[in-house]
This record gives sequence, structure tokens and C-alpha cells, in this order.
Amino acid sequence: MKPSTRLAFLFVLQALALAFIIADRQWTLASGARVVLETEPVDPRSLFSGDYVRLRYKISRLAIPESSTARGLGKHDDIYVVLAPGDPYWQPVSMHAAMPVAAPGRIVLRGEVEHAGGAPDKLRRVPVEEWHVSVRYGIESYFVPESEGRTIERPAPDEKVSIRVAVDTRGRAAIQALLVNGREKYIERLF
Amino acid sequence: MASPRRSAFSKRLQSELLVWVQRGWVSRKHQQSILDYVAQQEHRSPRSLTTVFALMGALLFGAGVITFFAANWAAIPKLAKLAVLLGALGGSYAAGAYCLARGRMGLAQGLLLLGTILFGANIFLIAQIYHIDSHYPNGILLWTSGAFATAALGPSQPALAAALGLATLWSGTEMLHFGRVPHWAFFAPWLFALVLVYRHRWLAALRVACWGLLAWCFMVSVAGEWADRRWGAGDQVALLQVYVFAGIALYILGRGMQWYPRWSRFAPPVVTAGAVWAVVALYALTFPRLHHAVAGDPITSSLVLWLGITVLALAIVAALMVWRYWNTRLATLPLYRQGAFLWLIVAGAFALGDLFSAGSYGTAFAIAYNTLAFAGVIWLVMTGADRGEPRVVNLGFLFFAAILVARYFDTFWSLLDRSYFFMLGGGLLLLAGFFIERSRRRVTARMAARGGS
Repeated sequence: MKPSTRLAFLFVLQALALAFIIADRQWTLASGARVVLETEPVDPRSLFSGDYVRLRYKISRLAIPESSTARGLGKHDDIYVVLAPGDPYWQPVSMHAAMPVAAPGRIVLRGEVEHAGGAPDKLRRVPVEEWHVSVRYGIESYFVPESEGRTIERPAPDEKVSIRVAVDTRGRAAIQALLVNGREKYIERLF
Repeated sequence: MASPRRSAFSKRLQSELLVWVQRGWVSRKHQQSILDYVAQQEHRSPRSLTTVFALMGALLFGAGVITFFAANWAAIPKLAKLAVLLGALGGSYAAGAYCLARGRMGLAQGLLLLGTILFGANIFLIAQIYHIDSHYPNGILLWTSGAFATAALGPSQPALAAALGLATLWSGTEMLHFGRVPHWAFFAPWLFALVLVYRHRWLAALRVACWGLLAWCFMVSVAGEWADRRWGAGDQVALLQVYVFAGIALYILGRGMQWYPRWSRFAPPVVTAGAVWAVVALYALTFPRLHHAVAGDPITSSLVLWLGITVLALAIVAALMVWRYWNTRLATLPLYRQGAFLWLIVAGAFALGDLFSAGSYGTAFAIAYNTLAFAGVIWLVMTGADRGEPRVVNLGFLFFAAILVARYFDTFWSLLDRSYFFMLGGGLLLLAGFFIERSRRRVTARMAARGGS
């Protein structure tokens, strides 16, 4: 095989791999159920690092009841969170160690346990025996255009930032839009 | 006409050649041929300077283009961003193919490496464009696969070296950040790399493969300390002991490879990697705190398992020693090489004994491993000097200094204990030096006598 043919084949191979990344994400965005999640600041002093947004959600930290199969999960284990529609934010209903069958109208969001432990959350005054997990869903970062991040970093007192995600049948989530007071500030499109 | 400028090497060679001709080592005809050849090589150097400038210019221009796009990244539509990313990737491969076709191999290899780097940059930039924040080692794995494809299809040794570095990074992040210890999947790309190394006779890539393997092994031992799947101090000591014998096995294998023309090219990196592996593991075992920690934190996995692995490692070393010295009368070997057999027997006995001690004799094992480590590095210096291998000598001196410094600043033993240790060790070394020098003089005198007859 000539060098030019070999390298052309190499380029096509690598371009296809890159196209697959985009197609996979678009499949989730196009076919996934739309879910609006409430965000909360990670750290009020550095919510944004440049134009790279670190997002944290209300469902990023979950209290696991004793009866739940997710009780024994450890760091880096997969966790499945069933969400039910709320007004306006979707709320966690139950947590599972394996993919459950969700009731109609509900969706299953897959995450990865970042930390699991029984330490009490003093601020929220939960009982000591309650088991908490910190969960990462793969929707914790969002890149915004240069200088525009500041306006979201310090929202006005009457502004509320939320995220609309698409969740596919495998429980994987992708950010579809960043909302301010329920209105689309940034929306994701293929091109 | 003014004579062209000559390099310092050329001037030195000219003065040396005068002496060589006078002593009859080189004829006058050959003296002129050598000087002509060097002058011709130096005359060609501006061409290589042009290549260097071209590469530097390409890098500078590339940095400027990247900065330009970074400054305007947000303002560029997604489709244009993708076109830029794929265009740069395709462009580097097209230029690489052009250079390959015209025999400009150095530049072609540089462009293929650039393509490999751009493929990785594209993965992470596409992840940024589409806000993909998933399990990030998967991105490194994809990059690794792309680099392997470039290495195989190019073919490109720099791309293979990059692929090996990336494979180590991928496996390291899986182990250290995600607690997947040990991450056996590392060996799939690593073994594939060895196939390419053998096929293309790539030495630099083999060196990277050896260092990658060492890095992976030590990441396993470090990860056990703080990753989620926690090992006891007993498991760590057991693993380090196995590493000592695995390193020695690799070292003997490398020495044996020197006998076979097909494999001899690959022997030096294997020898160095084996020596480094064994010595680093020995160095870690010299710390007394590690041995004392075993009492309160014994083996958490299985004693039988570690016993089996240690015995297997010892059996492999023994088998390799038999293979290596099958046709050699041991009495004809220098004294220090005979001492290696004794060292191995003692080290093997200590390794097995340490497994059963459960930390009861921490101080004794710490002293034993310090003695073994000092003996091991001194042996390395001797064998390196004997074989004329500066890299082995330097390695021995480096670790000798490292162990010395570690013991000096180690607060586990009292200053008085350490002073005894250093004085005893120093005295033994002086004695050993005296006997070795005497032995060396006898051997060289015998060799000179044989040469004379």
C-alpha cells in the first residue's frame, strides 16, 4: 500500500472516531427525555473557572434510605436515580444499584458515585444514621463564550439558573440548554 | 579562497590523527579519507539546520494559529470549528504523505507525530464543543488507539512512543483516579506495541515500553495505598518483593538476549529496565517504617496467593539463571558474579520469611533489606565497570546515593544506630575494594601474560 493511501485510510479512521463522539452525543440529545434540573453553586467564590462552568445539582448529593439497593454502593460504582417530574424541577424518587424499570412519566438517570458515607450533614440536620452519596452524572461542566460566564457567575437576586438535560434510554444525560429563570440562555445544536 | 569553518570536533580529530599516524595506527591515506569524510558531513550540516528551522518555524506558526483560534474560539460557528480541527488533522497527514513519498523521512515523522497530537487535541476540543463530560480516561484511550493506528500505518516510531506514553497515562488514571487496580487492560496495547517494536526493530519505542511497564507496576503499588480497594502494608511489602525478583528476571533475560543476533539489539533497554525495576523496589523496601507497619496492617488479600506469586517469581529467576549459566563453569566467573548467586539465595529466603513474619521482626527485615540493597547497587557498579557500561555504573551510583541519603534523613533509627550502620558499611566497602583491586590486578596480569604468549 502506498504511503498516501495508508495515511488517507488513517485520516478516515480517525475522522470516523471523532464523528462517532459527536453522533453518540446527538443521539442522546435527540432521543432523550427532557428533564429540568435545579442547580446549586459549588463554591460562591469560584463557580466559574474562566469560561468553564462547574455545575452542581440538587441531586448531586442524595440521602440513601436503608431499604435502597444503592445503600452498599462505594466510590466509582454506578448508581441509577429515578426522577419524577416536578414544578419546575425534576425530583429524585428512588436510588438503585442496577438499572430499574421506571414507571410511566418517570426517567432513570445514571451516575457514578464519587463519595459514599454516613457522616451527618450538619447544615441540613439530617440524622446521623442516614447514608449519603455524592453522584456525578457527566453533566457537571459547561463551556460558555468568553466574558459571558461572568453574567451567570453573579446572577441577580431574582435570577435562578437551571439546566435542561436530555436523558436517553440507557440513563445517560446530555446538557440540552442552560436556563435563566426558565428561559433558554444557551441551547445546544449540532452545528 | 578562505577555508570553510571547521567544528571543534574536526579540529580535535585533526590533531588526534597526527598522533595516530605517528604511532602507525592509521595510514596517511586513511587520515586524509577520514578528514575528507568529516568535512563532507559538516558541509551537509546546513541542510539539517534548514530542517530544524523548518520544524521550529512550523511549531511557531502552529502556536500562532492555535492562539488565534483560541482567542476567537467562542465566535467561530461549530461547523467551522469542526472544519478547522479535521482540516488540521488531514493537512498534517497529507503533508506527512508528501514528505514520505519524497524520502524526507525526518520531516515526515515529525508531521505524523503532529497528526497524533492533533487527533488527541481534536478529541478533547470536540468534547468541549459538545459539553461532553464523561469518564475522561476513555478520551485518553481513544487517543491511544489513534496513536497506535498512526504508528502501524505510518509506520512511525515517534507515534508508537506517544501511544505507549498515552497507554500508561490511560491505565494510570484508571488506577489512581478511579480505583481500578490492577488495570490489566494496559497489557493489550503494551503487547501490541511490542509486536510493532519487533517488526520494525524500533529501539526508542522499546525504551518507552520498558519505562511504561515500570511506571504501571509502581502505580499499582502506590494505588494500593490510597485507592478505594485498599491493600494492607503487608500486601505492599509482598508486592515490592515480587517486583525485586521480576526486575532481576528481566535483567537476566536482557543479558541472555545479547547472545542472539536477532534479539541483541533489544538487550540494553531490557537490561536497564530490569535493573531499575529491581533497584527501585529494593529502595522502597529499605524503609523501616514500611516493615514495622506490617504488624498493625498485615496482608489483607491472601497469604497463600502472595506465597504462590513469590515462589513463582523465584522459580522464574532460578530457571533464567540456569539458562544463562548452563555452559559456564561458575569457578571461572569473577568473584562478584559468583556473589550474585549467594545474594539471590539470601534475598529469596528473606522474601519468603518476611511473608510469614507478619511484621514481627520489622527491624531485622529492614536491616536485611538495607544490606541487600547496598550490596545490590555495589554489584551493579561492579558489573557496569566490568562490562564497560556507563549507564549501569551511573544507575548503581545514583541508587547508592539515594539509599544513603534516605537512611541519613530517616528518623526511624537513632543517630548512633545510623552511625554504626554507616561505619560498618564503609569498612566493609573499603575491605571489598582492597580485595577487588587485588583480584583485578591478578586477572589483568594473567590476561596480559596470555596475550604475550
